Amino acid sequence: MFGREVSIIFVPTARCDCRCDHCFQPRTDDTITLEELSTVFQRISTYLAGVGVTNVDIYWQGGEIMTLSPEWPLQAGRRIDALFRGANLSARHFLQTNLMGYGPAWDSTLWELFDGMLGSSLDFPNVYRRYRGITGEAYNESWVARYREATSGGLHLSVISVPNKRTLDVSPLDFYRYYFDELGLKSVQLNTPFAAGPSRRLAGEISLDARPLGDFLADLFEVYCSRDDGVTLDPFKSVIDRLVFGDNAAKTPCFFCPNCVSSFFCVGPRGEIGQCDAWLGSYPENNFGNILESENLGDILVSPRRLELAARAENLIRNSECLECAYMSLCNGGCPVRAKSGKGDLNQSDPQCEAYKKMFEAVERHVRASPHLWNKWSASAPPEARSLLWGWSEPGAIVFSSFECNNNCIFCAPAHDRSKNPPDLDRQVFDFITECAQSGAKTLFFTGAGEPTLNPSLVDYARLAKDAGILELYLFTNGSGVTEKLVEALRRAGVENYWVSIHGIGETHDRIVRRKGSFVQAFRALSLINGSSPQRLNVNTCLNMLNVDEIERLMDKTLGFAKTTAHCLCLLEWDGNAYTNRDKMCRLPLLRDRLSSITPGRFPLTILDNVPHCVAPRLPHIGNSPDDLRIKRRNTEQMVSNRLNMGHNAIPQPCVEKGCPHLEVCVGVDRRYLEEYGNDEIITLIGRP
Amino acid sequence: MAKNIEFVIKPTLRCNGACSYCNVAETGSFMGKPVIEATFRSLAEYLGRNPLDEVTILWHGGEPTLMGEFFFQEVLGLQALISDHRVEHVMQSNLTCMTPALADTLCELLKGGGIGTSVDPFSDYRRLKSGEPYPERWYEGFELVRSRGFRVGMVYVVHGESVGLGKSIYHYFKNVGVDSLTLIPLEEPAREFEGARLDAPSWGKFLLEIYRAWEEDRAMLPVEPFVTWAHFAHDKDSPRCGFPEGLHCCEPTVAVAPTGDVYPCVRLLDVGSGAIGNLVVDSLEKILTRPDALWRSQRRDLLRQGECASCRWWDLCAGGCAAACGFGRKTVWCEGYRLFFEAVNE
Amino acid sequence: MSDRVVVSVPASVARDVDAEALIIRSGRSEEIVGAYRDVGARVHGIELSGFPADALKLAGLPSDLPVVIKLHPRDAAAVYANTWMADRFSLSVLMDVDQGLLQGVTIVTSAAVPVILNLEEIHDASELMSALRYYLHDRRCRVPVEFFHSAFIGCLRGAPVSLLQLYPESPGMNLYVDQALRVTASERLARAGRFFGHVCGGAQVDTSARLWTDLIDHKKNLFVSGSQCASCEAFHLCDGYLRFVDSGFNCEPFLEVFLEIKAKAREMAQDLSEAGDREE
Repeated sequence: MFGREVSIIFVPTARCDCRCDHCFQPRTDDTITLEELSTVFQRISTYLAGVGVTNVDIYWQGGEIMTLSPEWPLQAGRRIDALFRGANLSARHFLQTNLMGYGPAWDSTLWELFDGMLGSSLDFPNVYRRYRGITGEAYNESWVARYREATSGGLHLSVISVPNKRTLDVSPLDFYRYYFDELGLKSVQLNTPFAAGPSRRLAGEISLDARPLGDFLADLFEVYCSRDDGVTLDPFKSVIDRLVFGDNAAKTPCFFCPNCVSSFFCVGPRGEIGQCDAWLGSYPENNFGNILESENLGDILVSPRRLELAARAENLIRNSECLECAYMSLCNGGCPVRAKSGKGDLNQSDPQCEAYKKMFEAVERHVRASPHLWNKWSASAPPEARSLLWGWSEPGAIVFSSFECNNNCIFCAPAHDRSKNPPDLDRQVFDFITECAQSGAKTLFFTGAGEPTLNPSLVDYARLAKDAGILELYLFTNGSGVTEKLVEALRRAGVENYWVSIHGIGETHDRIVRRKGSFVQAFRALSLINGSSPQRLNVNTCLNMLNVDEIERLMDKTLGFAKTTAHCLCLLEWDGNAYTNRDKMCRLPLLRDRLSSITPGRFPLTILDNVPHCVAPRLPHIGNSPDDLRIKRRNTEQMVSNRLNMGHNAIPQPCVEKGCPHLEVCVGVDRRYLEEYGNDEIITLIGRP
Repeated sequence: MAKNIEFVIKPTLRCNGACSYCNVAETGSFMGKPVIEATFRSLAEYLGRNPLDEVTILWHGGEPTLMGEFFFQEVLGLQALISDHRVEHVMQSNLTCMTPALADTLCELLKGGGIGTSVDPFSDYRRLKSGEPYPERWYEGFELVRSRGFRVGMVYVVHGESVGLGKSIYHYFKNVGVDSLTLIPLEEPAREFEGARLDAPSWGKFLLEIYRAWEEDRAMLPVEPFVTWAHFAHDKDSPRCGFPEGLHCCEPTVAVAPTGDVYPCVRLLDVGSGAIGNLVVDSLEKILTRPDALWRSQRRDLLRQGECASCRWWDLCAGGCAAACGFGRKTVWCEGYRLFFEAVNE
Repeated sequence: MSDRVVVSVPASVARDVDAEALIIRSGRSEEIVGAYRDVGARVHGIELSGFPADALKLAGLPSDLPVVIKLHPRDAAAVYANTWMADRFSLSVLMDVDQGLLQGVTIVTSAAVPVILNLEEIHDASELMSALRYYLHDRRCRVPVEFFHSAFIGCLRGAPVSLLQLYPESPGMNLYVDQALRVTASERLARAGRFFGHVCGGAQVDTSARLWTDLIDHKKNLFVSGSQCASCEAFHLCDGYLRFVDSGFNCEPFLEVFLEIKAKAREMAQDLSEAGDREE
């Protein structure tokens, strides 16, 4: 039985491209088919929804996922999401991979399904990991090359490290330096080794004595504390968090949870259900059942094998020394599969008990002797809710810094303005910026009829604007030209505010902007900019018929980036491509239906642009931009106020006649839209409750 | 020099109570309208000429609430005569005839001022003439005035049965929720009293008992005279409430009887001895300039030259209550005080 | 009856009680689920006698529902087999005060489930002080153990919280209905055979009943009757709760606990104040 949240360890394939000696998983070619997967997750979702679960985290493990094609998990994930959505379950996906099969072809899958986050494994020194004959140090070098490639594309990696006997010969400081200084990782978790499944034959080699392991952990902890450089090294950090902030604030590894049976279960490639991938691989005789053979997951979950596991903690308390242990509430008896492999009985305490105790002692000593930790505790308010950050210093100005674009969005209103950049664009922009600064502009938006990052002079423009005294610089981008280097150069030049255009998830985005690969670029840009901790990071999504059904999922994803400050949903004016493709643009009643489920409570960063007030009365709207925002496209043009630019809208007559109280704040409706659909739709719209 | 004057108005000496150890000689009169008007007019004239003086009016008895709400509404009207001056009203009442209407009126009159009251949780010396249980009627009155936001101070009369119960008495009053506790030793009752008397060593012993409980409780409930003594111990040069030395009533005190007769001390009024004027016929200034008005100071000077001359506890005691012992004699509780001071000092 | 009155009823008769806010009690999940089906949103909490064998049936109840499990200390380990309930509901364990209390409290709090000492079931209070010391000093304890927690925090803040506030027997706020549909203010009063009403649609109370007036005038009675409670130095942490049903109840172990709580709160307040001074 589960709480509201449950995790599923999903092993879609037992195939692996590595031959690691300490692995507990037997390698086979077993891989679940998409059809089987649909059956499995249909049954799982039905059961979980029925027992009141609301949130499911799915951990994709192997075997090795990257032995599959990148499209396979994407399709599988979409099927799972659709099934879970149908059962009112919210699902998040996490990936554990050895990374050896990684290449940019995976990026789209990684961004769409896994939000750009990967878990991998790397030991130091490497003794057991092997990939196609590559082992030892060479394995790590090979891994690091792939890691560098992944992170340069904005992907985030965390690593599980399993100490071996040679690890214990390394100084803890060197160990720490390897992961955090040399590789630049931000998050590492230490797991203790155990010999089960195929690795049982090397049990004497793989298993570590608890005493030296404990010493190593305690010394490594001292290094971690002395460095205090903001990285996460678990289980240290989670134990500190538990001691200082309490259980709710701590995310402890599974082997320290009170009863793992209440938290997760595992699904294998043949539909087999077990406790976790370690049980599934090492002790298949302990599986609970097979979901392809039984329609009801509930029947499987009451299998005697599972009930025996569920009773372990209670047995430990009744029959072992655990109750007397000062650290029982931190360790809860440790891992049952480690107990089974190390002591032959899952009802024993974890074989690394003594090592854990040493670690707990070290952590406790540190916590008690560190007033700054307690200060954090006493100062800790409930986690601050995300809140919308909107507005800029006025007056502001918009500079069209590129007329070229590599996208051709289906709604692009200024499509007719896109062209080659004029040869004297730099001079025009420099003049414009100077003029703006002299006339007192405080904010400057770099945008374009095209994509500003395609203009190699962008950083120079920004530097000039800052030097000329303009306070806030904004960059609008589709993300295509955003690299770590550019983000850093822009930061140095004074650009601290960004708008990234993301119009859908995966293929949806690519179809909307009509360029394959653009989704990955947009998310990579979002990730890289997020990592630079900008003042503002807004996501801009133009609503249309292709994305309107996945807006919530998209907003969930953007909320996952800690630095996003607004997610603007906008309706484009019916001009350019939007008019040409007007059959793909949103009709207002449909939009009203879709936006009705979006609330500021659930999506606190949402703000609407150019959407009539009555379509989403509960959400914040941007009204007509003030006159102080001025636009100039070309040197030959005069600078015009944005209000004039908004002249494409009108207040529908029925709204006036009905005396709508929101006329002052409503942007109205596009004139061409009104011409197309007449007032009947508006009457229907305002007549509905 | 500006003075603090304690104006004790006893609108009646009658009481609904029949407490065994009461030292008031009960007489039948109630203060009439002419007397209360003359009292306020006199006070107003005095304050007009001495605007820096501060006055505390203590409504006392007998039982002042027997006067009923209309009397105090009348007083509220007269209050306008002195409203420009620094006058605070407080009251001493057994609370047993408090009614909601009277409590409302008193709320207006007493404003931030408090009510002093008395109950005896462990002996039945306090009774009502009606035969009703004193503690119950008192508790109801207490809850009523607390609900109106009054601060309530407890005046506890220490008698022979109190000794040995100091800790319980302290906690009882703290638990019941009074805002302060003042301890008074039982002196000569007005009537025949067959209960347990208090002698001086027992008074010292009791003080010590309750002091220990008070100290252990980190002085959570203010207890007099401990608070005053602690104050003296802490800062001798900053006299509390304008008292120059410990255990002293305010000087001058103007105690007004229902007839308008004025006494320099409440206790003298209670026994009807030593009037120094009458507010219906004498101005307050005239009364205050009579030598008897400052008789306590004169007594203190006398004692310091005589039997208290070498006492190391003089600052804390100053000879004790003048009215209870007579002009030329030190307090009858001297031995008890010494015993207490010495024990605490150790 | 005021909407704010929370009525504790046996699950089997829940549908017969017309009240806005119900706590439904049972030892069987099936009964709880059935009652929930009948009275739905009026359920403000669940009280279970032990972890039922068929606890899985409770899974359909709304998450975050307050669920209290009455447990004897010897059964405490069962909490580990039901950790899912802590993830799903607002779970706490109401633990009898009996032998094994310290171990029971240790086990339940180690599973991060808060404990409330069941003062309606005081069989043996000899481990009360050890349980308090565990709560105050042991690093394993990271969740509240009531009444220790509220009493300690109250003393620390200078606003003591009493047992009567933590275990209310105020007919204006809490009613208890027994299997025979008789109405009183708590389980211990029901066990003592003291009632002031019955259920007939809603709870019908007789405000002239002795128990009713005793409850309403509880504090007054203590102060005018010469009760020892009135002069107890821990009165503010109890308000006469312990001796309300049995005036001869031996409070000694509780008094020790109260005094320890006061002393430790004072110590901590002093430490905090000195730490504050140091920072300034």
